[in-house]
Amino acid sequence: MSKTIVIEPVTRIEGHAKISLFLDERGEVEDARFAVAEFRGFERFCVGRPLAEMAGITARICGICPVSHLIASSKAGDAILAVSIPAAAQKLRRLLNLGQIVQSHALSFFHLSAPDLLLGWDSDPAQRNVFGLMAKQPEIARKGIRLRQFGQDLIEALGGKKIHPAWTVPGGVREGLDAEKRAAFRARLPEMLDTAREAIALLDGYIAAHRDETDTFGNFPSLYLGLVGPDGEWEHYDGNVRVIDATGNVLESALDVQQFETRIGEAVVPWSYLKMPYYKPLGYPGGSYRVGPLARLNLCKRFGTAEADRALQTWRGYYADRHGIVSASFHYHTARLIEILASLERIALLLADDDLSSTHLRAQAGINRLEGVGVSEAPRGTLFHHYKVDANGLITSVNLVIATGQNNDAMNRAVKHTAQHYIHAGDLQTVPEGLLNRVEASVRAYDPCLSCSTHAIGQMPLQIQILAADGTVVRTVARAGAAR
Amino acid sequence: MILVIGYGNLLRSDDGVGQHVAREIEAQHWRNVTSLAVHQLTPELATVIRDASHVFFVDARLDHAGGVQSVPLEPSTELSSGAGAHASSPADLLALTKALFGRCPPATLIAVPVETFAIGDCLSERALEGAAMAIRLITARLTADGSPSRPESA
Repeated sequence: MSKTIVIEPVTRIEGHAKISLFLDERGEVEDARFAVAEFRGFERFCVGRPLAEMAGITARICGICPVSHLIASSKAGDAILAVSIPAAAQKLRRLLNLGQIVQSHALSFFHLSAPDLLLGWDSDPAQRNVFGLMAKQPEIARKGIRLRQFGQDLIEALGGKKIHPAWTVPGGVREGLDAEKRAAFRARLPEMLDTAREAIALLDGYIAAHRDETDTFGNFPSLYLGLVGPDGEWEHYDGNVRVIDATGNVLESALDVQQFETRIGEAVVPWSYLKMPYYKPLGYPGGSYRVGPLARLNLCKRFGTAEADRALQTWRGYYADRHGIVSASFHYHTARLIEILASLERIALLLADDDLSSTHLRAQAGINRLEGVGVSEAPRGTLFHHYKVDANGLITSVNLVIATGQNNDAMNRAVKHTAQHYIHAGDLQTVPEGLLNRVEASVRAYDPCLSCSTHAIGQMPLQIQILAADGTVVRTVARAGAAR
Repeated sequence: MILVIGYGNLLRSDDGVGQHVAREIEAQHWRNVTSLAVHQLTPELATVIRDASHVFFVDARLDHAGGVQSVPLEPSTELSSGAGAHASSPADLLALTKALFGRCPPATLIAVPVETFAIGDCLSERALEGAAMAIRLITARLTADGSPSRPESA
């Protein structure tokens, strides 16, 4: 009799989801589904709103990565206004996005993922959280908080507040960053860089001691998609879309972001509100791809900053296959830390630029195009905002293709791959919590933002359910979410 | 330093009352008082809380009866699901501060009775009345005998 294992809630992720593991007649994992049951409807209720409001509205999709939506939305607005924003404004937007990457990646590693890695997958779940980490390794926990604080403070200094800053707008940004503030942030950088280096060394040490596990963790071939610069350098704000396959062959070298819909489709599945983006020339599911830190590091030739480039070369030397591709989902964690290092190096360069104090920060124009696409690299991956407007600048159509949504198929595959590796016949009634934690962690590696990816809101419980082939629930783990 | 942290969502009507109270306190320019209006209780607040002699958390309470509640807080012994992530409860935040720095100050939750958390950017009359009461309660604590806090204009 086949059965299904359900894990609910999936813990230590942003948002809420359900994992169902379907077992075959032998009791082996046959299939897995990572289902998201949230829906909010931004793509509908934004219709009729003025273009100028879209950055502020879409930032409210999420309280974790609002900057990403602010930037993508403003860039869609730039396209509709048909403007090239002042150089100083672009630098300031880049600085904002880099601050976002630092704070988000720091939260993901130190608060959400490090408890597994530094306390152990099989440790007491009551202690396997950031508080347990503080008890065992207080110094690294404090450093992680200070690193996130640095990114949050930078966002606040630029935009006036840490969450939903109303600062980047179509045509540019509202305000620059004076020399005094720039100097204050530069003074904090040495400590932040040390923390990033220490975290990379810590994680490399963990991997060296657990190589078999990390190599197996959600390891499967896939396409990769993300922004790259004109010479193939790592990009987070601008550039063109590149797609490579599992062996590193370039399928799209420099797709103009305004044409992204010619290559990116979205499939719908009946068991989740989360859509499944795919690369159209290969159809669905063959065209499924991954985005985010792992994809960005696989796509780029270099970062263009000294320490990050050394870290990238080391990373590829340690973990890449014969094609030069790193494919195990675990390495989203390592890629994330290298991106923190790269972001801090780029922040240092930008903070030294007096152009950031410029007062020429806006390009003024009216509605010059009736359609525009804004793309940026959010911490979790490539984010597309596609708007259509009427001649008065009122929204007639919105399509948001979110980073976490683009990783939806990959998260499902990672769950299945990890579950097939760890959960076997005979274990069903007594699957140790640590093994279920590993299945959850295969989702956590992607650092999903489910509120964004379903354009969703609220706090809902997460469930993991084990189901037999006849539909019998073998086991369910569920946790309640908070109200409000 | 006395710390006031007012938190809540400004686009969920009366959920923004905490931020409103914090901004009103800030506008009074008290010496030795830091007043923060924030969307969520994030872990970084622990670095500010650790230096405070007392913390007032100000939040909305959906209730159709009763006045402003002043509730002493202790650090959590059992953590909520969001603890240590991007949004924590006041008690979890105190626990985080204690875990990180070995201590946390005495704390009080000022719960303001409100009408609604519906989508909106205005405070109801009930919330505004509650906010005024909360401000009076906090300022009374700030001007208690022996307090080093004074409005800067005094």
